[in-house]
This record gives sequence, structure tokens and C-alpha cells, in this order.
Amino acid sequence: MRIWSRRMAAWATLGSLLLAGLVAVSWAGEPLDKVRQTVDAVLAILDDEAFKAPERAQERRDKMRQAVLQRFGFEEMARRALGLHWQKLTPQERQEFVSLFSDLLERSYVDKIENYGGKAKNIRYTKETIDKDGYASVRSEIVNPRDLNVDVEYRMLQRSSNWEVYDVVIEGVSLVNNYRTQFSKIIYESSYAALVKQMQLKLAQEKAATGTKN
Amino acid sequence: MHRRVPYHAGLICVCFVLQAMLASSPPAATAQTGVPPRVLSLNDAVGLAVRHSPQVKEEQFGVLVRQSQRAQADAARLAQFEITVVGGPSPRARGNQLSSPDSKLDPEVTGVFGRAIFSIVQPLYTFGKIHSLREAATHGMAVSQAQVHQKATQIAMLVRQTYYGYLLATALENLALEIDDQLTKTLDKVRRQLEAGAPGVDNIDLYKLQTFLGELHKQLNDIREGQAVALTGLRTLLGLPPDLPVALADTALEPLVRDTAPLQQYLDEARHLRPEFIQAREGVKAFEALVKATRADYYPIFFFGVFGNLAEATNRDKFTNPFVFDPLTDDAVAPVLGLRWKYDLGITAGKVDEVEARLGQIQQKQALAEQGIPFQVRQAYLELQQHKANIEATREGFQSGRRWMVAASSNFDLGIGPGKDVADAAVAYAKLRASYFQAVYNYNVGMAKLEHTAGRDVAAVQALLPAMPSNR
Repeated sequence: MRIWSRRMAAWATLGSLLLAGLVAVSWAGEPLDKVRQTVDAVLAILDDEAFKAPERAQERRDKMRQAVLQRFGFEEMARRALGLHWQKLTPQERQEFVSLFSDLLERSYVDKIENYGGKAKNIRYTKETIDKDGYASVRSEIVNPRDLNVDVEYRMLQRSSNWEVYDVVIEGVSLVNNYRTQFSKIIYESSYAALVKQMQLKLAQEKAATGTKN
Repeated sequence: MHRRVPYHAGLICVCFVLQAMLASSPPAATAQTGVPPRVLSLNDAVGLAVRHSPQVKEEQFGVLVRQSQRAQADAARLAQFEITVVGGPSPRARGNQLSSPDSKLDPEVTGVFGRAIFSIVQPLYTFGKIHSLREAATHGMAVSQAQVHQKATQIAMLVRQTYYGYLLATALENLALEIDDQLTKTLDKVRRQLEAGAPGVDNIDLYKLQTFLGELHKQLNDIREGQAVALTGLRTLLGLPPDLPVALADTALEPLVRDTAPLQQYLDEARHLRPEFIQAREGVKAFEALVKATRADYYPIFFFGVFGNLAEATNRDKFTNPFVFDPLTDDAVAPVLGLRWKYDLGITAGKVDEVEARLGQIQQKQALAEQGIPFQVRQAYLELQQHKANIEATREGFQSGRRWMVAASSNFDLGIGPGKDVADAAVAYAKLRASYFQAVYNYNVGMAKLEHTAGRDVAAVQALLPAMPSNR
């Protein structure tokens, strides 16, 4: 009886270890894979000769937006960036802000990636950390032979088994924290409406530069 | 009303943020088309320069000069043989010392004579002259050898400065190219915005960007000129053909990773290793020996010798009277013990004073080395500490500058921050990054300078010296 108990204990230990390993295998790498997929997808579109014709600029824009929207949780980012001011907005205002914020941020992100010249090999993924609370961090490095490499960290949140980016930290600067400070400053010095107007003007300039409607 | 963004500043800062994220093309290679460049590490370059330096070889010939002087002093201890042979017409001489039909007042040249006068002299005692000359030559050789090391280390130091100088110019070129790339893209964007009639954009933004780009291109040209000069300098120092493509093994300017010993250690090492100290010490000994050798001229030289005269004439009678000697026909050989002494009224004294004065000069040079070299070591040590601190300060500075650029450009991308902030951040980053590169260059050269002032580089160059040249 004692021998049977010892054997059972051994099998139970082994089984739990295997199970933990399997869970680890199924979790390990998913946030990193998701980030890599998104970046590679955007780079593939940028590199696609077929989309470089001016008349296909809108189509190219739409495809990139689609790729980025799959991974970036812009509503979460906008909410965190606005902080306390988010609570004061109506649902319609929130929707308008998220649309404006995501449009500008997505353009900014794609613009930066575009400068890589379509070279995915210049991006190295250096570390992935997954929290048991459903948060993860994917660290990457953009290799620059001319100057220093750039550290980019994607902070992610798991929603309904989908990993979304809620913050991007570039060279130690959290974009969400940065925007929160700046939004608060503008809202305090002027108003929320003034903030939206500034962002709308910027969007108009960006659309003019790229020759796109959205 | 939204304040119009000054695009020149804003777009420049976008450039800088993008610059940091660029996957850029490799920097321009120095190789000519189709010809692979010769790749040189710093050690390769130092080795080539020392081996091919005409200045080092010149100093090596100086060692040969001293070597030959010592050989002369060595040989002065040995016997010396001298012979003079003459021949000529011979006046007839018949008869003997009492009676002869011939007269020296009315000579008849009817024959010829031949005569050899020889001597073999072995110095016995010279009051220390030969020994002192040998000693002076030996110490002179040590001085000359130290001069070879001094020249070689100077050449090595020059190579290091030039090598790091080229890396500095390359780092600055890359920084400028990053900015140039981004400015050009920003300029293109502004043009498109202007063409599309984007609100808040006008021609002034374009002109300002173009002006800034012009200034940057000028800076880039200056940097490239510096780069070309450094490379030409390296080729010359290394004795390489001017059209040979050359590339450095190091592609980035990084601070040397080397522990710094306490100052006292460098001071102690300098005393033993610096060629200048060795030259001064050996030079004093050489001149002290020369003073002894010159003073020995006050005294005679004792010698053993064999002197002889061999002569034969075709028309002169020989006679055997020992009191009469005919130089044209008589033979005489005799061993002798003798002394040679030259007395003058001030020439020897003047020579002694001259050599003593030269000794005084060398002693003052030694005193100068005793004062000057420790000062050089201290100065190099303190400068190195300063450069090290500058590296940390500028590193913190440009890292903060990068964060500033990220924040400012992110705000600009959303239209919530002025372009001026991005421009200010970009300028600060570029300045501090350039200062960082300068600090790294200063540190690396400073480290080489400290090791040079402590004499640590002598051992390294000794292994690189070319073979001693041959006189033949």
C-alpha cells in the first residue's frame, strides 16, 4: 500500500510537471509571434511593388490599417492616454477621439516602420515576458548600422484570447504616459475641444501628404 | 486657433526620431570598384608603420654608428701595424765612409732604390683612455637603442591618433547621414503637403528645411574631408601605395575597455621604461667616460713596438760600420719599449672642458626628464579621468536627448506638440552624440598617451621593429 502511494505521488508529480510544461509551451511565444506577424505584415505591404503606384495609395493605406488594427488596442491606449478626462467624455466623443487617435498613431507607427525600407531582418526580438495576469511585454531592437539600435517594447494585454498592444515604449519613453501628460496639459491650458482641433489639423496635413482620404 | 507648427523644426525632429529607427544602408566603403580593400586592425597598422618607418631605420643606423665606435675602441687595445714603402732614383755611392769617388754635391743618378719603413706598436698602458672610450661607446649604443624605441613609440602614437581619428570621422559621417536621410524624407513630405494644399503648411517651411539641408551637406563635406585626410595619413605612415583601397577592421568608435592602474604605478614604470630616461642615464655615463678618456690625453701612452727599415739601392755600396747609416741601402729592425706623449699649452685642456660642458648639458637634460616626465604622466592620467567622466556625462546626455526626441516627435505626430521641440531635441541629441564620439576619441587617444608617457608601449614596439640594417 505504501509503495502504491509512493508511485502515485511520483506519477502525479511527473504529470503536473508535464502539464505545466505543455501550458508553458502553448503560452510561450504567442505575444511575440503576434507582434512579429503584425510587423512583418506591414513590411510586406510596404515592400509590395504592386502597392507603390500612386493610384493604389488608398488601397495600401487600408491594408496597413487593417494589419495594425488587428494588433493595436487603440481604444485601450486612448483611454489610458486621456486618463481622468476619459470619464468626462460622452460615448460619441469617446468614439470620435479613438478614431482620431488611432488614425494618427497608426500613421505615425507605419511611417516609422516604412523607414526601415522593408527590411524585416533589421528587427530583432530580444525578450518576451508573460504575466499570469494576462499582461505581456515583447522587447525588440531595430538594428541601425549607422547609429545606435533602437529599443522598442510592446506592452500587451490579453482580451478574449487575443493579444493587443496597449502601449509602445520607445527608448524607455512610454507613449501612453507621454500622451497623458501632453493631453492633460492642453486640456488644462485650453480645452478638450482645442486638443481635438489640433489633432484634426494634423490629420488633415498627413492625409494631404499621403494623398489619402482616410 | 491652432498655432501653426513651424515645419522646419518639426520635420527635422521627425527626421531625428526616424533616424534612430532607420535601417540604413551601410556607410560608403573605401574600396575602389572591383578591388577588395586591405583590412587593417589597429595592431596591424602600428606594426606596418613601425616596420616601414624611415625615421626608425635612421635611428637604427645610429645604433650601427655607436656599434662601430665600440668596435674601434675594442681594436685600439690590439697591436697596430704600419708600413711605408717608397722608391725612387738613387745617386751613385762607391767606396766607404772614409773615401769615395762620388760627391753628394755633384750626385750622379745611375740607379734606383727601394725602402720600407715599418712599425708594430702594442699599447701597454694608456691611463684608462682605451677602456673609457669603449665604455663611452657602449653607453652610446644604449642611448641610440633608446632613441630607436622612442622614435618607434612616437610613430605608434601617431598611428593610433590617426586610426581613431578616422573612426571618429566615420561616426560623425554616419550621424550626419542619418540626419540627412531624414531631412530629405521630411522635405519630400512637406513638398507633397504643399502640393496638396495641406492646412498649416507654407513655403517658408520648405525654404527653412532646404537651408538646414544645405548647412548639413557642408558639414558632411567637412567631415568627409577629415576622413580622407586621416586615411591618406594612415597610408603614408604605413608606407602603403596611395591608390590602394584600405578599410579599418574596427567599424565603430567604442571606448577601450582597459583597467587604469594607480598613478604611482605609471610614475614608477616611466622611470624604468621611458626611452628618454634611459637616454639621459646612459648619456651621462657615456659622457662621464668620454671625460675620463679626454683627461687621459694629459698623460703618455706606454707601448711595446718593433720598428724597422729595409732598403736596397742598385748603385750604392753597402758598408758595415755600425756608426754610419745609409737609409737607401741599410736594413735595421729593433724591438723597443717606448712612450708617446704630446704636450700642448691648452688644446687638451680645452678638449677636456668641452667634453665636461657636454656632460653638463646631458646632466641638465636628465634633470629636465626627472621633472618633465612625471609631469607628463600626471597630466595624461588626469586627462584620462576627465575624458572617462565626459564619456559618461555625454552618454547620459544623448540618451536623454533620444528620449526627448521620442517624446517630442510623438507629440508632433499627433499634432499636440510644436515642431520646435523636436528640432531642439534633435539638435541637442546630435550635439551630445557628437560630443560623445569626441569624448570616446579623446579617451582612447588619452589611454594611448598615458601608456606612452609611462613607457608601456616600448615593449610592444620592440617586437615590431624591423631587422637591424646592414652596412654592406
